[in-house]
Amino acid sequence: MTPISPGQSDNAASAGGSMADLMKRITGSNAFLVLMSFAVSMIIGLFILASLGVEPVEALRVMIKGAFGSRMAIGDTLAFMTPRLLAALAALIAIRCGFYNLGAEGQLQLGAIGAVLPATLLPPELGVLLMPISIVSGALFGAFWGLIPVLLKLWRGANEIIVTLMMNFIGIYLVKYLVQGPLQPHGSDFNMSAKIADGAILPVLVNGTRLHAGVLLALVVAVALWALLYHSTFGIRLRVAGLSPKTARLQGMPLSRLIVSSMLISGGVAGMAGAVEVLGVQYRLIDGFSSSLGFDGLAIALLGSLEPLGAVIVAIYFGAISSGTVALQSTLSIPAALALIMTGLPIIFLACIHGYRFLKGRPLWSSTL
Amino acid sequence: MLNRPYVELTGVSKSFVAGHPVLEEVSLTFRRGEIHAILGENGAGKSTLLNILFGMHQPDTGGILLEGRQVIHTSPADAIANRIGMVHQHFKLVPSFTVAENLRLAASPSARKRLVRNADIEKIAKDYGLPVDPKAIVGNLPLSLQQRVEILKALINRAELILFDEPTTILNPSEIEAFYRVLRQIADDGRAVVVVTHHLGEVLAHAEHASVIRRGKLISSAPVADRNRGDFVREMVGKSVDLDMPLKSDYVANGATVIALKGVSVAPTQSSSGLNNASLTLHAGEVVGVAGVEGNGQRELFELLAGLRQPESGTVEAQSRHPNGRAIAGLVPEDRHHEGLVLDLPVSVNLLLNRIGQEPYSRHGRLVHGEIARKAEEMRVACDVRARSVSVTPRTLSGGNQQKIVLARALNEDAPTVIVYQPTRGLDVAASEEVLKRLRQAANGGKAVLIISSNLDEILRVSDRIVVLYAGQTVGKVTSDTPREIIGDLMTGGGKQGSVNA
Repeated sequence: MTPISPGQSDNAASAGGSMADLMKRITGSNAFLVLMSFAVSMIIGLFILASLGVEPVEALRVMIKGAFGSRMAIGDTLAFMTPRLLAALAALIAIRCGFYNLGAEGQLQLGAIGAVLPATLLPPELGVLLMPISIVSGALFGAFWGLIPVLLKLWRGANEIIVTLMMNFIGIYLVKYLVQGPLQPHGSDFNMSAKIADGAILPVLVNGTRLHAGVLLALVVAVALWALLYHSTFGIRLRVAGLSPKTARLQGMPLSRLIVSSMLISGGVAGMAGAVEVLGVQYRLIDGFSSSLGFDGLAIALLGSLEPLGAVIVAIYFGAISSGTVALQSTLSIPAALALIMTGLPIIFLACIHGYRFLKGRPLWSSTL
Repeated sequence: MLNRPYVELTGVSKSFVAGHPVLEEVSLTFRRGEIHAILGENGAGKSTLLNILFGMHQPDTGGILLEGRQVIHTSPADAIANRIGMVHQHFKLVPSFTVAENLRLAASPSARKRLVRNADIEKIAKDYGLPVDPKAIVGNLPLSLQQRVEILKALINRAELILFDEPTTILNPSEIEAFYRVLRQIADDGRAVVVVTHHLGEVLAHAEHASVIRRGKLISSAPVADRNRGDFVREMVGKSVDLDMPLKSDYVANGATVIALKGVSVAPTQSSSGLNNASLTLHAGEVVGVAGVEGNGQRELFELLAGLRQPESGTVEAQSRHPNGRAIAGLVPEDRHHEGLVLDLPVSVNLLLNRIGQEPYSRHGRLVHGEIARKAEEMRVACDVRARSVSVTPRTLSGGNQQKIVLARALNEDAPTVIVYQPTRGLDVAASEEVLKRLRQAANGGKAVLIISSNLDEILRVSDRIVVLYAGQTVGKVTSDTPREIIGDLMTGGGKQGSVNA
């Protein structure tokens, strides 16, 4: 221990363990900041309710009851959570590799198309085999949609933020076209496809709710992506490429291959989100079925610090807000648009915090092995 | 009049974390007409001292006297109003604005009146001896000119005391000379100049007065004329480091050739001359230094040897290659924050970045965390990286410790060659010394070491052979016995000897 050891003094400062240091580390942590943004959003949300002339405590009680109060409430919350969680996982795996995939919405539309095609066109005699076929087909369609922007970037240097964002609209209009044209059953005036075969339907897990087997798929994908990121060689390379592409290049890592692979996974998972929404909730391809699930997913991914576990927690919050505001609307006649405020506010707070940290030269997210 | 103190710091103490003072009871005097250097290792508290003078931090105890009168700076605006200017290490300029716009932005309302027309700005700049094109976009200017704009910002606000934080790290040797000529002029006009640095050579050559700070305490403050290099090093480091001891072996060039560049060329770009028929051979067991002013093809040379680019003509022969054709070499890049390290992944991953996909660190695509931690800890101890554990991130470490990680990884590469680019940039005396020692050890252990650097001192200290890179050509064959002036001459295009095989 020579006197010249700047690193040592750093350690002394942080290992000192005084109360003030501990507080500083807690208040500086990502989880704390996210929790604070949610807490402040809840408080503001209750103020808004109060300004509408509703007793805030009563409203809070109704919301919590509507989200978690019964088996059915929990079922609805999880059903709302499922596609959003998948979309969030899709967004985070690409962003962790440094590719800003804002196209989950479009990839999800293609995933829904991919799921509906075998589920309506293949012979229904295939029975329950149709379900895995439809999910895989949805994932492949989503992956294909995700591959286009990554190839455009690698070959032509096209900015992925713009391309993925614009391709969302192509996906949305493709669905519109299909349900008014080729996929519209003869003699129907509704903008929707035929009903899918019974064998392709994701079974309902809790009777009386919309909770379907897709939730299990979403949780399995979350665990799988966590294991991929933190326990696989591919995952560590993907994170290196995302955090410091120049370092990755200098160490001879195959940057292009990593980005293509992460986008195939991302698009595939987003495609699954669309597939489970069709196979578990709608049973048809319907124009406007998604109501911006893909963008919710992006918000969830960022609020969850781009961590799979974080995405699960935040997705449950989004699900709870959705089912809770439905209860508010039905019992206290408060507009369900409140959900938009309650999910939008934490994003605004967190964006401010991250922006501040970014200006101070801190990383946008921190992670450990 | 010149001997009367202009600004004084009286017993200034500051701590950001209770119980860990950054500055303790520091008293200093700055006089007009004087270049006052503040020396110290990284983290000694030099920058905090400047920040207190400039109003960015408030001292816990003690204060600032301006011509004997107590002043309190609660923000930089107060300091500027009291005629204090500061040139930060990282410039505070708007890169997308022109020089004129940046100056008008920074000027006080009264000063702005003089800056209405570009011609006025041009004239003012010239009068100060700092000519710039007012219409140039700042982001397109080289760093030395951006620094000039920063100095003009201070002068335009009539600063009488100008603070410089590590001003020469970004400058090449000839720019450093020019920079100190400007400082001399500023001081001779009756202003006080304070320069924070850890480059001793500059201080000995240009400053009148030097103060040494170590771990927040003032160790000495005295005229430079009475002191020598050894005194300063001892005071800065707290022990004596023999900077003149050469790090050389009894070198005989008989090792096997590991890399040979033959007549390689790379097209020039806006900021670099590219390479022009450059040749270079590297043998096992030797340290070869590539000296040169930045922008003369160093970047291209490094990228060629790292396998990041192919020469447009000529050949790169390497003893060992990856299956994908790129030469195998341990690499220490110039920019350790962006090319050398993943600042937010643990030290263990950074140490083993080049091997993370290999057995035993990874099996069947799965990471073997235990093996990674074990090997990383072994490397951390062997290379003396001062971190609490290998699970902390490099972002929390000092520059010297960060560089030790990059170097440890490069030396751990299964390659006969190590290529280092600006290995000690931004490091303090003790940390630089450790890096250079380790490179010498690697050569003694049989590796071929190539040092590309614009710091002639370090090249002279460790190199067995020296190659000078000028305008993309390898000019002259010199040894460490060659007088500095001749090498300096070659670096600036003086000795037109044409391309020589080195």
